[in-house]
Amino acid sequence: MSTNVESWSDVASLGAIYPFPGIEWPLVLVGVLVWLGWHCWQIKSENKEYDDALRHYNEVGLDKALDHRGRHDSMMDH
Amino acid sequence: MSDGLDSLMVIFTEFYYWVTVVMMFLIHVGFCVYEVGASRRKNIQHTLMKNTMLIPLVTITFYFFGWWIYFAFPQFPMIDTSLADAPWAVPWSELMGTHMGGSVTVQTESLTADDTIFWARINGVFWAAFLLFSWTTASIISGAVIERIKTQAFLIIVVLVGSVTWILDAAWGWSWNGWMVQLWGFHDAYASSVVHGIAGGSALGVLLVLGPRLGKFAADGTPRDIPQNNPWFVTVGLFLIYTGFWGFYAACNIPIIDFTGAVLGVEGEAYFTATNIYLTPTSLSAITFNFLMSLSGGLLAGYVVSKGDPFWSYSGGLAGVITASSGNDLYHPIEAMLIAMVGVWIAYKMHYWVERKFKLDDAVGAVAVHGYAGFVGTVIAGFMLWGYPSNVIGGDIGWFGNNADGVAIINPIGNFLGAMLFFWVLGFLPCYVLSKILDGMGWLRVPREIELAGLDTHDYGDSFPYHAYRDTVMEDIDRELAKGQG
Repeated sequence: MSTNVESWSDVASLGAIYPFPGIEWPLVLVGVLVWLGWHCWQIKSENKEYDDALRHYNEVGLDKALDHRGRHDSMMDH
Repeated sequence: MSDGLDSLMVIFTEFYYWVTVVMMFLIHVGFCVYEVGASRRKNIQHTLMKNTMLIPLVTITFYFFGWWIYFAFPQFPMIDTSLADAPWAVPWSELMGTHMGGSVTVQTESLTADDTIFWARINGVFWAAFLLFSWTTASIISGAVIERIKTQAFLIIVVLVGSVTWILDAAWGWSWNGWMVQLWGFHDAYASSVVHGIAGGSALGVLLVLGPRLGKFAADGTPRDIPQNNPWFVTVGLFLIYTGFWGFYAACNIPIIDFTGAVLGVEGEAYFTATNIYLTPTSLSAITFNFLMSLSGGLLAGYVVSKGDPFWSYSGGLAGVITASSGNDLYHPIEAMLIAMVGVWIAYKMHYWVERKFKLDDAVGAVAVHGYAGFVGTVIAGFMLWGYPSNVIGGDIGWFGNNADGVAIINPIGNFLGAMLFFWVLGFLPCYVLSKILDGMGWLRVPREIELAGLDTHDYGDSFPYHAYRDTVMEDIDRELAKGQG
């Protein structure tokens, strides 16, 4: 039984009708962790992306990157 | 809900706000289109994704704490030193989910049966209407900082602005019982400062730390015009923002309420009307007059002051509405038009003066269109509406005058203080400090080489792979900068 709704016959007395009422606090906790975790992942991922790109630009030369701006595929072949 | 008339009013109100939310979505579509058009080809997809990811982050944080701030802080700390109880707005409330308005099993304090019925229907759409204001406030910053800010920094800044500072200002100055309204007689019905002023101030705070785009200023400090990749997209984006602004205006109203009986508490009498957020009367018809007349005044002035430049003519339309918004619940339509023209002229002149004087690179003129126009509009409203009752709460506690009913009157000092508080204290200051912290951690600005090559180059690739690339003067400048010259 995931909810306290067993019938729609007395709808006026119904309160929360989502599944598992009573677990709001754990849901909030999970939601906050997802939010903060997403920021952590995004920051790490974006910084790595820039580090990799800088390393590549140092290898191929920034001039080449400038000549291929916006054209990722062809730049990576050089 | 069993009473026919009450049920109709609640469900009409629910539907009304739902429609405004859908319309306001177009503001964000407009911002994305306009920023994509304003950024150079090498930065388009980064620009788009930065502004897009604002949506989920501001949404979930507004669910976690933004909505509660609005109801907890209206009188804190100036009238009451404790926070108000708002059991329908905390994220663990049953009323923050699917609810039929019957019994509340988890929490019952401070909630009557009527409250429960009301919030069960209204909470989601009212939350969403405020949330869309949050997106807008945060998104205004986005255009100013394009082409060099790291996405991570932007997404932290927008949580601060969208889910904390703007909603705190709304609690104080854009609420029927906010302390600024009751003590200062502050009035900003359609959010000249409440949304736009604080957003402009926030953008300014970030920009001062972030610095200009490489190549924006010549070695001698002369500003360069960085060409937009698609001026047509920019103007279509602004058209979409105009469209969404209709929803924004409607969402600022309470669509139907018994003003005499329920608001003023006169027994045996009833007078149904729309009100603004301060519960003082206005109508959709009035704000429709004023929205269109201020839009027109802004377009006319923007066209003249920029000599027909499409970007500034369109931006003028937006700045015109923003300037008149503080008092557009009460102005005569021609007053709205003239006030809009004044705001646009000031915003345009200020933009270029600040750019030259302080070397500020506001890529889309956001600080001017939103910040300066919003600030000026709020100050003007203080003079134009001087003497009107600002709210419906008596008590003779207004600092700058009360009417015969003991209600604080709208006045120039209160509105000036409000504009200053929102632009500088809640807008500029928190974002300047946060940007400094982010900069110190290396999270604020992309590395120089990445910026020169383009933020899409190493990751997303070309936005127009089937179209030939044509260099502009900015590419030559980039090459000089890469060699350490220029």
